[in-house]
Amino acid sequence: MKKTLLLLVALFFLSCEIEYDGETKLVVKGKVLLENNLPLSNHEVKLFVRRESSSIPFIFYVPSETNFVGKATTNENGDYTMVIPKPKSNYNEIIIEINSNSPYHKRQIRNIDSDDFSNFELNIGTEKLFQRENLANLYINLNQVNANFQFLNINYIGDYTDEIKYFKPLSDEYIDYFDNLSKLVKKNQELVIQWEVRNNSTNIVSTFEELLIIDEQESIQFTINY
Amino acid sequence: MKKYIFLLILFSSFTAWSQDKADKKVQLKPELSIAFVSHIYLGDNYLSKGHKQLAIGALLKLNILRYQQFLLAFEYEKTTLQVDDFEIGGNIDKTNINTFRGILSYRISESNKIVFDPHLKFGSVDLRQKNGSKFYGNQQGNTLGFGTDIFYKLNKTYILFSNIGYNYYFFRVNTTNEFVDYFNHASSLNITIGLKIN
Repeated sequence: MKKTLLLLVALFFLSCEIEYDGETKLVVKGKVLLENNLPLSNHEVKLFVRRESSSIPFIFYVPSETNFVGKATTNENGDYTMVIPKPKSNYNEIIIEINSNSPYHKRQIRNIDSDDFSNFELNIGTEKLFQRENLANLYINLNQVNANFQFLNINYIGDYTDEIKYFKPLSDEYIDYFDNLSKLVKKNQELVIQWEVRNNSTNIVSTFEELLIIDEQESIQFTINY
Repeated sequence: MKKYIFLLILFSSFTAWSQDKADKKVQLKPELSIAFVSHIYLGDNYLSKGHKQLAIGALLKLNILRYQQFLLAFEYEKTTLQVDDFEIGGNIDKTNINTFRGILSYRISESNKIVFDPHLKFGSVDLRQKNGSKFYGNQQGNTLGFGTDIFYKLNKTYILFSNIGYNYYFFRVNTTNEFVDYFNHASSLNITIGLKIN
């Protein structure tokens, strides 16, 4: 009897897929600009609804699922509007992807869910895209030289971007912390890097700053000793 | 809604049998019609602007009762539309529209070879959206309309059947003020050609 019950539970979960409420339509709006602040027109914006896989060993396994639910094209002002059916509760996040195949870098806005919509609408705001050939990869290496010191955070002042932007901070701060240690930076600029370090023995937080000259290199390594 | 239609049929059947015996006024007159139906959706709304025109479907109509020149019928129709506007409505491939209607008709000139049945119709509508095998939810609502059936008698059993009508649809979609009318109201003109079996 128990085996049959387990099998039924397993089959139930196997058949679970992301469901949608067709009677609730969510509206997503946004704007896409180029690095020189001109609107990027006639570019495709896609919306995906994603669920991670889940399992209980030997009982059930539900594979991950990604649905390509919405798509729009930016108008002459760079504005776009998408209307999608509302995903029901069995999903993890809504992802908006701008420009996956073009001379401009890809941009994904992640970690959105239906609670972020107010009166059925979500305005993503303005996203700025850079030409791929104008971007370099900046990697920050952390080198702890004093065991009492703890690296807290890092900020950048200048032209930089990310392929992935989180609409709201991740609940997992660890991922957020390491995600901030690599950036796509515009070539031929002076970028200011600021970081904070706490001395755990005195509890004093110190801020450091360094000017980094970004030239034509495709990849830049910068080491912070703390 | 399906439950109400079923109960209405049941109730009407009993009424017909009892009254048939009494005065022969309300009669049980089953007539089955099978037809292809084509809709042209009108106005600034999701069915009209968000889909390719024209929509082709099929319907099954069953005349049940007759009282003097008045006829009561029920109809099930399934129409499929190809989605054209992915921005307003989602990356959806097709929309199936299932409609259940009750129809009240008035029969004109029965003795002639050509018969007209002008009618009023009211029912429920269910819009079901899919992309491939992936189901993207449904929208329910109501429909009302008017039109006329035109019959051409081929013989005692088979009658050529055509219908021209206007349909109005109300849905119950929750969305922003900008789009609420766009999703919640629609109208169509329909042309139907089929066969009625007595």
